[in-house]
Amino acid sequence: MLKKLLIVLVLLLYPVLGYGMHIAEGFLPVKWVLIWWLVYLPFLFFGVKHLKQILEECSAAKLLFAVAGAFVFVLSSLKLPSVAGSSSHLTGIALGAILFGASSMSIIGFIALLFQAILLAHGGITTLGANAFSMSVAGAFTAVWVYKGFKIMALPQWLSVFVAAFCSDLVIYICTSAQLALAFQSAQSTLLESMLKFLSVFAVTQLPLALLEGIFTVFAFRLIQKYSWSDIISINPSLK
Amino acid sequence: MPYVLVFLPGLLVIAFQVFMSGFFSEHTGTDDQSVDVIRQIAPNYTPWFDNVLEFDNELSEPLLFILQASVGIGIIALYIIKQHRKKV
Repeated sequence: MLKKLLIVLVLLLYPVLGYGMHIAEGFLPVKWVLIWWLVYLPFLFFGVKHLKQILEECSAAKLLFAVAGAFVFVLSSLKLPSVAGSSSHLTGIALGAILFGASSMSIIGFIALLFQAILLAHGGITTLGANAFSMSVAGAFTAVWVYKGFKIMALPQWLSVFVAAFCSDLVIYICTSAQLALAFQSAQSTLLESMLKFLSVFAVTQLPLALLEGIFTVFAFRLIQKYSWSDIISINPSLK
Repeated sequence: MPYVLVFLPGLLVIAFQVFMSGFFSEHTGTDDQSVDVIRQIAPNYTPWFDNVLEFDNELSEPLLFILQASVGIGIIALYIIKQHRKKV
């Protein structure tokens, strides 16, 4: 076990500290700030409600939810350089989404992004609604849907987890690009063309990182599977 | 199992991060690159809000990221220790 843990954490060593993917403070017009907050808040509300219910029903859920949150905290704090000379970071959102359901991750995403926005000048308070939507709603729901889709096809669980995390990571960046393209559409180009401009910034950096996201998530999932599988099944019976 | 070993990889993560942050310091974050694209598309756009806290000291940001990583690593390590004790 310790050897496996060492492998996971040594893999985490490769990244460095830093910044990455979120929309910077003040870089969304007021109209879009309000729209994304309005879109995000219902997910946060249902996330809190859903989590409250889980915590009441299962005493072990508190610790496991803390672990899912810790996973997001660790992965989103690590900057990974790419061959293109740019850098970004992972999100870790898929693990908690698969274990607890997608809406629960809106809370963890909010806390992690708020921490980074206030203390690290990364992302921002005004752009928190948009960033939280892309990371903890679009990313989390993608992870759950992809995981369920692969499960229906009776593929190995580790592969389902890997692809779910991989897709979740990519969708977060696609969503961020769409948010920026909607807010900053040039007169000479279409929405799709504007979106492709933003996507080109993220694509080169993010593809290899999405693979790493998948690997880390599989390791973490297996760790939880080993120690707390019965608890996880009682929290989320659909994982059986 | 000597439980202190669970925290050792975490300490290594932090030490290595400090080393690597110097090594890859020239790498630009994709968020900064997306700001460049915004400036190309909308050169007249002016950010209307500034970050709440910005530290002048270059070390502050890496240290705060280390704090964030440490909180996460600490919780994961405590979980492993707790579950390992339960099994033994």
